[in-house]
Amino acid sequence: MELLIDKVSKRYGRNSWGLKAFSLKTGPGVLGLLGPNGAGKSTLMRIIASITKATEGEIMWNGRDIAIEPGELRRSLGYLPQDFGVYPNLNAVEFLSYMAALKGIQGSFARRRIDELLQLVNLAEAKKKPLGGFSGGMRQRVGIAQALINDPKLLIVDEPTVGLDPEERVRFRNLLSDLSGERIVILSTHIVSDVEAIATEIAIMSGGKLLKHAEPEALLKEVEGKVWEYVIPGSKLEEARKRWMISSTVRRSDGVHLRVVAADAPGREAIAAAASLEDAYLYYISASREDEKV
Amino acid sequence: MTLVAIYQTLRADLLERVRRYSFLVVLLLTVFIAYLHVPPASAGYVVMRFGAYQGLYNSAWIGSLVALRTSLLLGLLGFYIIKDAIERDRVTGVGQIIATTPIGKLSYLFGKMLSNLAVLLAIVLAAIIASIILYFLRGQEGHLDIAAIVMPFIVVVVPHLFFTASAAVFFEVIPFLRHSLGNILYFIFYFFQLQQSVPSPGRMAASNLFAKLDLMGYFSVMSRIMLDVKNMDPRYTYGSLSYGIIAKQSEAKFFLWQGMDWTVLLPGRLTVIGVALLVLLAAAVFFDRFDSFQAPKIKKLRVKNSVVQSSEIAAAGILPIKNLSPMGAARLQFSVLRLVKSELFLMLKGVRIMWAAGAAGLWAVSLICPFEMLRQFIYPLLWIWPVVLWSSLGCRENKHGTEAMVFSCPHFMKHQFPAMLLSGMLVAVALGSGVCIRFLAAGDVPSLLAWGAGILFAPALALCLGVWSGSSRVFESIYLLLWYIGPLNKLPALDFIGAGEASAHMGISIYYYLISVLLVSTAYIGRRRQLEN
Repeated sequence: MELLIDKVSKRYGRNSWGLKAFSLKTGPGVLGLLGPNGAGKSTLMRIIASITKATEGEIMWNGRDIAIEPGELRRSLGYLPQDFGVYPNLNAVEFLSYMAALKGIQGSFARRRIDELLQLVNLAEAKKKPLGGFSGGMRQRVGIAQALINDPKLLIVDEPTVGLDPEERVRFRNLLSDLSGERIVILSTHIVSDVEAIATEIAIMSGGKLLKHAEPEALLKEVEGKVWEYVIPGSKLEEARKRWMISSTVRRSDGVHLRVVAADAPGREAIAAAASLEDAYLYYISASREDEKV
Repeated sequence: MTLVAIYQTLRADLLERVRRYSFLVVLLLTVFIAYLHVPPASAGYVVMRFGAYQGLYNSAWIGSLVALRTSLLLGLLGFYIIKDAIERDRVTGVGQIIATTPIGKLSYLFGKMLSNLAVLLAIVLAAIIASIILYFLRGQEGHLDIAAIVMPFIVVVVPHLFFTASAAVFFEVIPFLRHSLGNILYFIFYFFQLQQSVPSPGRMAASNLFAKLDLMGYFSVMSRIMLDVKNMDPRYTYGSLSYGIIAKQSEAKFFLWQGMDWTVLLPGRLTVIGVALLVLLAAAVFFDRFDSFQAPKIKKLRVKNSVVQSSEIAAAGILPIKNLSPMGAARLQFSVLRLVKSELFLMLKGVRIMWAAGAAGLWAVSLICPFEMLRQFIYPLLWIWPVVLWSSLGCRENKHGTEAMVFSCPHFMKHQFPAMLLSGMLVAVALGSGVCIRFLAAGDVPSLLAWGAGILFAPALALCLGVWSGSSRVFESIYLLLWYIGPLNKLPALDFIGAGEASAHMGISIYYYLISVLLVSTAYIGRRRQLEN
């Protein structure tokens, strides 16, 4: 099982690129796509899901070009879009039955699978209620269920934890982690902690380009020795922000505690700290912005 | 503050809407219809003739002719293109943000009404420019008199558009008028008032309420021209009028119409604006300010019963992922029939009991009523009853935001597209089966063929317009217009179901089979385009 993204670009209008020469190869596991808003994550997801066509480049699913043979990919695909709606007059069972029919899943199997999925996403008790009355988090869980209905080999989830409460968010992260064994899960988010917990590979994007694709440990290694904790007086905070990349600030009685990502220690009192994925993410995003300025 | 808020509401709304295709389509349609309404002398049709008389093409005649048609056209199609200003705020969630601002209900709705009006006025401006160009192309008399062209637009059209803009706001505010039912009710209202405003000898002597109010300005202008013709030729009989695109039976006698003193109409036209403002005021009274929990009681109860919070289900048993049934390739079994069943279910889910009862009643009557009654009313009614079902074809995904999920399904075009069309056709077959039985029993083959054309044409039109416009309104407005002129009023060329015996036996149905094939092909291309974009 392999997904190969080869120099994929998407152009909007004459000179605006949503995605530019994006290349990546991945296999079973969870690929976390990280990037700021507007980085091109959703565009990439839509192209992989065969909804949007790439302007340039190709995507191969198990060696087959999805632009030429989309059916091959779609049979194995589960997709949870970032923004989606539901038919308000249907209940969860009816909606999932409709999606199962569209995906060509056998009736008796579909019914069993729907029952199981509704239990999995904790909607069994509400399965006969019209979707129009569901809260945002509940609709999101219906979306998750429809993405899993065909037992997909490729699961694409775009900002899946939006609208979920903290408990549901943790459950969903665990669910993705459990699912990932025999399939490829692509998880797009700008919430670093969502990816940190479950991703086996991470791709950092910005401005439609891939900045870095590596395993979490390798990303952390890159910023090892470049993260510092440093205390400064509150009055010098603005100046510090201009000088260094700061990943967090905490006000205490002795001053402002900074977490600085920099090659050299920001001051003599600075203490080296263990790097987190968030530090690594900021490091790459910030470095790409510096490159753009140059 | 209020003025700024109204201006900003108007500006944002106007910019959003004039950048849409539907605006461009109605704009071009208006210009095209203006062009059709000033035909050259050699054309085989006439547009407005009073007995044997037709006006010479001078500025006053061209201006009034195009202004009247623009008023009639925008009163109907205009309503459908502007009737989503509030709905958009509701759907996008912007409404909830607006609700938290200090803007008052009336100010907000007034801004929306002005925005509606501005969209329509942009189209009117195009019609005025078209009239001026048409004067240079077809003018037969006098010199270009800008005032004579523009005045009927200002005095006749603008007040009517004030009313249309306010009515659109009103229909959006009242929950049960927001969607298809409201579109149909407005259509009925529009044609009722149009019919009541046609000048006849009786109405000119003692006009009814609609003729007195004369929202469209039709009665005032037509009756004035009739008086002028009568003064010129006492043999002319009041009410003798041909209006529309009508085949020329004989050569016209031309007369010079110098226009009228438009200021005479001003009190009446200002009254129309007053009525429009009253409609807006009524809308403000009913406006829920995006508080969905202020919807009518039935809706409120439904929402209350159906909203289930996480806490209620927290105790539910949760299945571990490993217990999910695995699916092998053997579990995939595509079936168009199963999809047709699903599409039908989706189409019929949420249908009100009154609708179903009405459908059953019409079907039963179609089996037993006299043939004349069947052709005159029941058969046409059976083809208007399912319009709310057909109107979701091709645009349901866009309306509910399910495109990404649906379009990423395997063999989507191969299975879902024909399933949608078939489900629409099945609805027509079910409702029209009584009529089919009657034609079979009578051995009326041409009528049976026309019936078949209707089965295919209505859902094909819905699918095509739904796919290309992304909304149900375009289909609803165009279909209602076709249905009114064709099946109900039996104009053979537009009688796509052969409701009139004459049209059924003329063999018109063959054209509708061909048009249906074209519509389905166009819909298919549109669907592919949706997928690729």
